[in-house]
Amino acid sequence: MDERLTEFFDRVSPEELDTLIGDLPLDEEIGRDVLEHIGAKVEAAVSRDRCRGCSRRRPRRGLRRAAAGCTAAVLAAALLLGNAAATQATGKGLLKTVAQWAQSAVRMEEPPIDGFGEDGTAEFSGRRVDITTHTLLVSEETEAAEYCVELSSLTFGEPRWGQRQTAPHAYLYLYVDGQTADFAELKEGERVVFEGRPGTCLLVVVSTVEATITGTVTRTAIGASQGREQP
Amino acid sequence: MQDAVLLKTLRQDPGLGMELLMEQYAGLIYSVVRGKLLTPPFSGEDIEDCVADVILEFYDGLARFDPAKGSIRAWLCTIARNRAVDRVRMQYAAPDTVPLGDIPLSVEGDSPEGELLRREEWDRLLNALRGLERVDREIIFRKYYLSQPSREIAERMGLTVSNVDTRAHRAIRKLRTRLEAASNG
Repeated sequence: MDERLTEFFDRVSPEELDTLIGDLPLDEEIGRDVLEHIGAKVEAAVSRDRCRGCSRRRPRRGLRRAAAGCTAAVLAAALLLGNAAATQATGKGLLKTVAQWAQSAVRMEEPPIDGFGEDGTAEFSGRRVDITTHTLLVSEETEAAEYCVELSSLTFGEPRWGQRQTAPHAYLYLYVDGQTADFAELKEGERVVFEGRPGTCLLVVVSTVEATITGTVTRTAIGASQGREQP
Repeated sequence: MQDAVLLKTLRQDPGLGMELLMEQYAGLIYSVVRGKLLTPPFSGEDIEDCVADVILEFYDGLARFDPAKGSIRAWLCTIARNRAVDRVRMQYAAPDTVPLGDIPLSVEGDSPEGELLRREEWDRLLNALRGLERVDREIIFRKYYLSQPSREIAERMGLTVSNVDTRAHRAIRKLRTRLEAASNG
């Protein structure tokens, strides 16, 4: 009988199980510390999942619409743009959760560029930890403009949480009014031009592991840049 | 919290919904998983990992969740048990190659008759379990689903250990009697 019961409970369906335990007070308790450990593991698992998608450059279907490459970038977007906007943009409610969990893990060590010099150029540099995001720019554009981003150096730290950083490039995203407007991969020494439309433009560098980056952003009129060097 | 409210919260505010889900069910999921991963080589870490996987799996499948096919509690229990069993199987995985002689030529359950017999026996056991008193059903669930020892069952249910053992023994006897009566009748 022991064996039959064990086999039965191994294969019972949720519907059948409900008829057996639906009225039972099964309020099992666990310690607060255990609950926190589990919460942290859920967070880590989510992050791993995102990064695995990133390194394969095949994000899960629901996320593909918003982020052409790196799902970690969508997470970053969720953090930067506000949960609601990112959730709406991706149509994936999970991101909101991820964003909330990850908020404590992402530390912005450098403020974004707050203005351009007379030549329209601004330098950026910084090191980010955990899920690496670097907001290069937040600007209210009234007319279309081009941003030429040049990455002079890019160094990755050690992967954490089982993350993998296989590609020697950072992911750059341009968001306009909360929507992904453009996406590019940029290696050290490369340059890319984004077209910024009127609205709130947000330019973000994302990597899935700690990274140290330096470079410049140059804002020019449309067509004035020297072309896009890396699609 | 009622399933409908929890589901609505999970869909509208996943962060809050997930917190509520964990508050309400993490303990039960933990108990289910621990029942399977109680002994070495598994550790507390393995149990916590598995619980986290269960929560994620439930959340990832939320769009497919149908309350008509079981409560959240039952689904979480089922996922938890399956994932814990998967871990045990992976730990003690058999070699990839199997000697040809070990492959059965026919399996009784594969035939329609075998399948029908198994289904009937299954339904009989399910009905017999349903017919148990609530306290006895809980003891059987805790003993066979959560793999809790009598001492723990006694603590959880506010009974003495000997009471738990006696009730379990009688409940199993009742089940056996009912199954025999059902198969003869």
